[in-house]
Amino acid sequence: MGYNMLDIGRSGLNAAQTHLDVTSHNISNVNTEGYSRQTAEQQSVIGNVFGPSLLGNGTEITAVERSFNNLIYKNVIFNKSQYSYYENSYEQHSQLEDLLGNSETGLTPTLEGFFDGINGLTEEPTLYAARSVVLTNANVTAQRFNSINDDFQRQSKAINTSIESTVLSINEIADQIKLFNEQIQIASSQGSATITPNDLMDKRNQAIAELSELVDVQVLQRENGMLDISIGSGITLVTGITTLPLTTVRNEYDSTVTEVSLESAQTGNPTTNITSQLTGGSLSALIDFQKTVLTKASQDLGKIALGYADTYNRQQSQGLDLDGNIGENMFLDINDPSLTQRRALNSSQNPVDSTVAVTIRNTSLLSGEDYLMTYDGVNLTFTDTNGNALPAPAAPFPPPAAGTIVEIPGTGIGIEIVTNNLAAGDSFLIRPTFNAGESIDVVMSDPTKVAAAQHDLNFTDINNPNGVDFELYAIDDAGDANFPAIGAPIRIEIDAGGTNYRVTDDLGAVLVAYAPIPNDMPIEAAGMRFNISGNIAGGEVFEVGANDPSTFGVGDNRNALKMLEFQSNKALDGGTNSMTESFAQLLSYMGNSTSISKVQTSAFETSLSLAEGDMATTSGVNLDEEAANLIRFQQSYSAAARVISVASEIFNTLIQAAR
Amino acid sequence: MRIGTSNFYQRNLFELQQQQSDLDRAQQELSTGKKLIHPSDDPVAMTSSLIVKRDIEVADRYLKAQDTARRFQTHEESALSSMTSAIFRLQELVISAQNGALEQTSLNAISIEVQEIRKELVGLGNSKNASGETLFSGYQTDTIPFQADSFGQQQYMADDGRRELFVGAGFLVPVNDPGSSFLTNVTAQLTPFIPTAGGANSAAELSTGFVTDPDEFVSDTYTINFFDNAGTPSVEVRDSGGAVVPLEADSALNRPYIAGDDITFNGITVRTSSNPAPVNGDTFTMTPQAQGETSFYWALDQIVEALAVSGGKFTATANAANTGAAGLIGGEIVDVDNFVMDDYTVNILAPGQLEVRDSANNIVLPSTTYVDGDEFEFNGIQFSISGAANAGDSFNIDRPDNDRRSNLLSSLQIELANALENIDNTRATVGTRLNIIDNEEQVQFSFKEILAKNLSAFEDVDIYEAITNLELASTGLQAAQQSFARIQNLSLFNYI
Repeated sequence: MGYNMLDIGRSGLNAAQTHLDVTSHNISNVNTEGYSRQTAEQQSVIGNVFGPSLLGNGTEITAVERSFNNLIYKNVIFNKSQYSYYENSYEQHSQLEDLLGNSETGLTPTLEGFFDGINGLTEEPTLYAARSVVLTNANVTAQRFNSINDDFQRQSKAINTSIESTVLSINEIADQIKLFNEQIQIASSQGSATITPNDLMDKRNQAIAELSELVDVQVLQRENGMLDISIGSGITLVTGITTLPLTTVRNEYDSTVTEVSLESAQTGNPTTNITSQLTGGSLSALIDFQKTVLTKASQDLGKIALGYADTYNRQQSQGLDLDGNIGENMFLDINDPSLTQRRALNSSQNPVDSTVAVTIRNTSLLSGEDYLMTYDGVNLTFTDTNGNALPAPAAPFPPPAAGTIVEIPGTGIGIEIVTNNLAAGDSFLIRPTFNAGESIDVVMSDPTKVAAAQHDLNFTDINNPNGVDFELYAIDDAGDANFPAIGAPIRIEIDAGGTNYRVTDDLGAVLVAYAPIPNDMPIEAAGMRFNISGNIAGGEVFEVGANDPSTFGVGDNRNALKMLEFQSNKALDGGTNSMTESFAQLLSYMGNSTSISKVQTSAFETSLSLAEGDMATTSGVNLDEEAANLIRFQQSYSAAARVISVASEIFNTLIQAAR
Repeated sequence: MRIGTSNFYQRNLFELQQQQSDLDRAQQELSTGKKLIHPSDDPVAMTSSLIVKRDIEVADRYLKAQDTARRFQTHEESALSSMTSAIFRLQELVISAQNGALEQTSLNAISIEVQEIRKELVGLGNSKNASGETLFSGYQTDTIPFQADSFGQQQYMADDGRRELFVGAGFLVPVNDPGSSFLTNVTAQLTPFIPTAGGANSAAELSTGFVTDPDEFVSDTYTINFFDNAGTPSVEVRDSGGAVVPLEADSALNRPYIAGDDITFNGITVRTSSNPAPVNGDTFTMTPQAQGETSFYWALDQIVEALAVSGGKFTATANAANTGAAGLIGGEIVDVDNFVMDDYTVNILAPGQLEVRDSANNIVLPSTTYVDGDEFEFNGIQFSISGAANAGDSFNIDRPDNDRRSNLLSSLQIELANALENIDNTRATVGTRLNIIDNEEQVQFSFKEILAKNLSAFEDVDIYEAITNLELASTGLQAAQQSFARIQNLSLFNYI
């Protein structure tokens, strides 16, 4: 019996020793990321039959277990992923917001400066200095458009770089997880099956947590303690001891946008673009921000830039400069050949590229949206980026011949196929306003060319029963054969059905035969463009006559007054916004989006903090607890040692007694 | 509940950071005075504040345009007021010059002063502003509006444009008045005649035709023809009915012309250009100025010309068709009591026998015998015939020039008064505009005030709230720091 007591004491000593080891391990790892508190599982050793019962035979440590709750852990990585998403998104947002919303770097101060210049021009149209100020401010405004757009592009490039490095990190972590899987599998299969490599599993969990900061992660338990990892909406990244690495590819249309692809299991097979399937984490935050917010910012800025340049070019065309000549373009023509072809991007899938020119016909109708143009071998189809079909000009709509511009109703744009290499399945991304802020440029250098005076044309309603508004929109070519001359006015006649118009002279001789009135763009006649708005009754006749050009006066400021009116005229967004208002709308969108990401960041920060708290409650090391344990197990140790010494004393007593 | 020690520190750190960022925000709001620092702080307020800022800029632009408009009006007002005082002096001079007893020397003195005033008035009509723009030339502000043509007559060279400025939303106020709106549209007593050259004419010009004799003046549209009269380049005038109008002073139906001379008919005088001279075949239509208006400066020209007209005696001219060589001498007024002012005609009924008719063709001296060299008298005027006269000869007797001058000047005086009225009306308009601008200035100021208030509500921080926030945040941070400092000391390890 005494012999047994020695054994029991020794088992107690061992157990206490193990407990002390585990406690020391816990204390040492108090600051180790991802470490789960470990506890030694102790149980009594069942002894021998002793009379009617069993006599205990000491204690033993059965296992060292980590305190780990998978549910709480999943909650942590989910929140980590979400928090990381919104935090990164907010970071990008606030960069953009600082750029646009700052009163120094925003668009409005320069735009207001330009209007100040125009105001000065109305006051003193003959003053060279006043005219110079207009041009200087036009330049400053154009450069501001350019520089804001540059910043957009710079941010986009930085995002591309981040996407690339994030993809590399994801691959690296996937490799780590794969290795951990391998080690855990080996460790688990050694000896008895109950062996759990606690610290390896902690490290693997830590790697997964890191991965969740980059992208949303789902974890699937496998045999042998291995884990399968999938990201986004079910894209498998790690299966056991194999990984499918991610890679970056260029966007199908826009090569300046980096996207994410999954490499095929068989080398040589094409990769699968998984960009749209990614969710959560910093990677999706970058992709989503680039795709939605940054794109929209560039589109909307471009829309304002186009509207601004077009408005002032058209107003220039309706005026006379200081020398009495017809006003020239102040800004680079928005439909300059160098620009129109940049607005349509071939899909990288198109076997042979076709050249498509996108002409802006009516800036007030521009929405900023991109459109998708597809070709089925016979007809062209236009859809918005959500896949909704646009009302085609005429259904079915075969590709127009080169040189023919066909308007796309409701969009303010027209399409021309310059080089037709169309094949069935071809698709094009039409971006009327994206990046247009980049190309606004002042082409006028001589301040005397600012057209402050009015080009005197007389408008007379010959027949206008419904009081339709007939306004000059632009003068494109005063050298047109039919352009009204002094004493030779022209007439625009609308047919009885109200759908076609033609040009005649004042005696009724037809100069240009009937052509259909376009749905949403100004009509073109005799080198001019006119806006007809109102309820056309049919049969309207408008006369346009020319005044004696010798009536020109340098002190005439009427055209400048019209230019000034655009400080508040609602020339954009279908006539709902002025330029400032349209910009304010963009800012408001930005602000809202930023605000959402900010609120979500702090919401998920709290959730994450709570989840991490929960995790800490289960798995974290509490030093006070460990200190108590230290004392407790030290005492146990002492007690067990005392058992041995008592056993020894008993033995001695026995020896003494026997002596 | 267990607390993970590491997590405990992290959480406390997080809380501290949170407090710190609150404090930072409070500090930022206080130091900038703005609560709207980023669009995301309040997207709606940001949009509104942007539009309010735009509206303030627009109001500033209106205020600036108002200053400019006021400057223009004040400038114009001062020119107009100078014109007014010059016309007052002119009126005095014209009244005094109507006195029929004035000698040529006195008239000359008046004429010199009138010409000085005319120069001043032309200068005022051609006033320029600080930027060198002429005030009264409509849109053609680089054109001097009133320029003397080759005949010395002031012609209006500019247009009818009125430059306008936005002094309020959609509110345009003119900042100038073209000369054509008040200087060239003076209601005329004596309508001037505007020459229109025929299509096939040479480059020769005719002056604007002025009425030089109100008593003989007949208004019509005349045609002046230069033609070859049997080898002699001659001129004739026809009325709108095609009838030949006799020329002054000898009632000739046509006469050879000398380039640069005056053609006078029916009380109207026009001058031909000397270089280039009219050539045979040239034809001009003389149309009365539309709406019976004249240019203020033409009236001045006419006054100067009228001041050169003087003479106390009636003048007689032998009719161009006379066959006798007789002349009519005399013309003194000898009987003031019986004197009647009129134009007369002396008809020779037969050698030694004459009659006198007045301008209405009534006989004032019935058939009377006369002796060559003897004086005869009618209506208090005395003449004598010298030389042989044949039956059918006649003589035109014109009233003394002094009377013609008086008549002319009294008509021109009315034109001066009309011009003054035009100028006064324009001054009144300018005054009204100045009032409008002042009103609109008040409107813009109060509008800006409201906008500034709105803007402040959108983006300015409530200073009390901001201070409270700062206090709260700093107290919070302090408390957190202190409690953390105390709690983190607590460890069981301190006791073992």
